[in-house]
Amino acid sequence: MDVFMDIIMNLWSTMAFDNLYWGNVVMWGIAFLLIYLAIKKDYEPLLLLPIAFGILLVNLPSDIMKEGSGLLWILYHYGEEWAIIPPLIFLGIGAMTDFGPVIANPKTLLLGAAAQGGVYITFFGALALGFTAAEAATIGIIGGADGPTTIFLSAKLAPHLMGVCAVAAYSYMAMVPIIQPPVMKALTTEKERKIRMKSLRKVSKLEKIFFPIITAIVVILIVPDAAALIGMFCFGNLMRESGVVERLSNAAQNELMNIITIFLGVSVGATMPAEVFLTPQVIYIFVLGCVAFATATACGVLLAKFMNLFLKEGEKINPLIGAAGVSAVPMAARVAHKVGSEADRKNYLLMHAMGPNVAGVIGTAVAAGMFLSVLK
Amino acid sequence: MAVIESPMAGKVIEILVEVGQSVQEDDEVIILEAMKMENPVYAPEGGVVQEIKVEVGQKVEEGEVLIVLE
Amino acid sequence: MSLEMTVFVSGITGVFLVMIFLQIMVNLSSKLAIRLEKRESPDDK
Repeated sequence: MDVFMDIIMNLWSTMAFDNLYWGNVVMWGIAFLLIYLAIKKDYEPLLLLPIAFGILLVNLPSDIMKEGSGLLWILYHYGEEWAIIPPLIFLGIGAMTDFGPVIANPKTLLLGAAAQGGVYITFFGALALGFTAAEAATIGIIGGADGPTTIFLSAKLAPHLMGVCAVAAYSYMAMVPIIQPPVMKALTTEKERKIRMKSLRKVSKLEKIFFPIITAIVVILIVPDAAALIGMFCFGNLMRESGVVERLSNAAQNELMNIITIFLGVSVGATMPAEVFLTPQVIYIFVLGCVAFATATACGVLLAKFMNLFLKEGEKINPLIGAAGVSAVPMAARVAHKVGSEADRKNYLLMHAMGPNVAGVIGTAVAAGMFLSVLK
Repeated sequence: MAVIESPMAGKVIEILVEVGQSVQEDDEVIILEAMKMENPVYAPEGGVVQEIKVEVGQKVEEGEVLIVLE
Repeated sequence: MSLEMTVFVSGITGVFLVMIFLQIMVNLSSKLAIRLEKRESPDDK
């Protein structure tokens, strides 16, 4: 009988139940919630599903996140800590992005810059709540609505916040259609929402080839700390527009992008063991993230209204597209279009809104670079 | 005679009218897809559809003539 | 100036500086591109 009990006890000690504590179970709940949102509500499933499963794995007692040998630790270490995956995602995004609307209407670049105002407002909000400058910068950048940039910056400034900030950024991105419209409507008049913009001119192939080259030179000369992101982004875009390396461009957009998205998601999720996640700070970060999205939207809309003061009749921009400076591509552009068509159903803002939208991607990367230049 | 031009670049995913059918101003005539979003195109004025210049699945540019009205 | 203000001021200036320069350069490069393309195919358009 004793022998039998010994065997049972030995077996029990090799199992993981002893090392489980209530926090882990709470984290399972969060993982299940994210899995539910991804599958049932279609909230950024490509990212939230892997992240959620990463959360689940790291909250099961095992050595999967053990420094030096755990599988997810290795993915995390080489992928995010070394900041390899976010720039590679930018390579893919570059290869997917058509800069035509920006080239046809370069004024929209300014709107992409304005939306970064929300990043800085949130930065001060986070400081006021007692976060350090490096943490506040990471939280602020959520307002750029750019997952890879958020992960890139937090790896360098505040690695302990990476998981939370990434989840906040991706879940709010999915909620852009809920967060943005009230802000947009509050700040514009019916008449402004009805402004029809004159059609975009056709952009030639050579202009599109010049764009990534010029962008890389200008941005990296002014903000060398954004070189990794912007460099890859522009390279990806040049592959697309050159038209001679379709295979590489497709690989960057599809195979490479898909593979690194898997690694990124699951290992970002793995940065969220219960000890790290279950703190009051996390609630602050979610609140601040929402503030970041709303203020970024407001800054974009307000700058568009300000620019209208100087533009001739017929050249005026619909202030709604300013909201698309929040770089959730293309969700924010769709929201601008939708709110515009509610005011005037024959108003087609979608393509116009793509200008500030893709400019916002550059803007957020630049803002991240500026944070790094002062804080790293 | 009037024409219905495409208000934006996109792909035609549905044609809601037929040749010979009469349409009212602001009727939906075609659905365009761009950025995975369905955008209805409305008739600028009433008339009878004389010719449909596009087919389902075709990509159109902004300003391209979609339908000729009589 | 405190660290926070430095971050804020340099950040906003940096972002707008980049975008203004980029706007100017994109305008110029568009002009150049259109001119080059015209020279290549004078009978086009």
